[in-house]
Amino acid sequence: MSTLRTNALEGMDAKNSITIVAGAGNITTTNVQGGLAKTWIELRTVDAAPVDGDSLNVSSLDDDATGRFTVHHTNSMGGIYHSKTAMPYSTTSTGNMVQVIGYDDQSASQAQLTSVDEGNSAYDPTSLGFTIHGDLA
Amino acid sequence: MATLKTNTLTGTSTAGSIAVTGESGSTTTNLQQGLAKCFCNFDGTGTVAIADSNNIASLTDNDTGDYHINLTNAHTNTNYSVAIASGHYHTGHDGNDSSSSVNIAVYNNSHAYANNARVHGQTFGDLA
Repeated sequence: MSTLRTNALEGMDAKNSITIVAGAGNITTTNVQGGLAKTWIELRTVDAAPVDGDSLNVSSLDDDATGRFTVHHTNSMGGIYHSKTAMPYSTTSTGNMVQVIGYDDQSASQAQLTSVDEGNSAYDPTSLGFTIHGDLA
Repeated sequence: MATLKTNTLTGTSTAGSIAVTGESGSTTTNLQQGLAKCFCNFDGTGTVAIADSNNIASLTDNDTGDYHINLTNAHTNTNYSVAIASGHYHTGHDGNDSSSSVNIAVYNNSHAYANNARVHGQTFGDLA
C-alpha cells in the first residue's frame, strides 16, 4: 500500500474540483468536493436549550422556540439552495413518535429546523442529526 | 502546510478505494465510501425544477407528492442509503426500485400525498 501524506487537497485546473474514482468497477468517477458534507451536527436539547454535541462548520445555535432551532454556519454556503436532511431522536415518546424537520428558510448562512411529533406539535427532541450537502461560498 | 494539487484521485491497489486517516489520528476511513454520491434540492410544486444538485440527470414528477430523481451515474445495486426531507412535510420512499432512480414521496401533516417546494435528498453507497 502506498501512503500519500498531505495536509490539504486542491484541484489543479479548478481549485474546487477534484475527480475521484469511486465506482465498484473502478471506472466510474464522482467529485470529491460535491460529495463532502459541508455542515453536520448532532444537536441535543438540554433543559429545553439546544447544545452542540458534535459538529462541523457550525458557529452557534439559536433556541427559537420549543422544537425550533437555528444553526449558524461558520462558512456560508454558496447560495440559498442546497440539500438538507435531518433525523430527530427522542427518548420521551409515548407512542409511535413520528417527527419531521421543517425548513422555514432558504439561507446561505444559517438553517432553521423544526421538530414536530406525529400530532404536528413542535417539541424538543432528545437529539437530532442534521447534514448539508452543496457548494460552499 | 503541504497542499496536494491534482485533478483526479485514484487508489493505487484498488482504483475505487482510498483510505484517509480519521480525526483521532489513527483510525482510517474510506474516502469514497464517505462521499455522498448524489444530492439534490428541488421545487416539487408546479413544473418541478432542480435548484441545486450533484450527479442528478433529471427529475420526474410522477404524481402529487411522488417524484423520482434520476442519477447521471448509477449505483452498483439497489442497496444504497437514502436520506430525504422536505419543508414542514413528511417524507418517505417506496424502496430503492432502481440503481439509477430514487423514489421520493412527500406527505402533508394529514399523511396525504402533497407537493412541496423544498424537497431534499442524498444517497450514499457504491457507484457502478
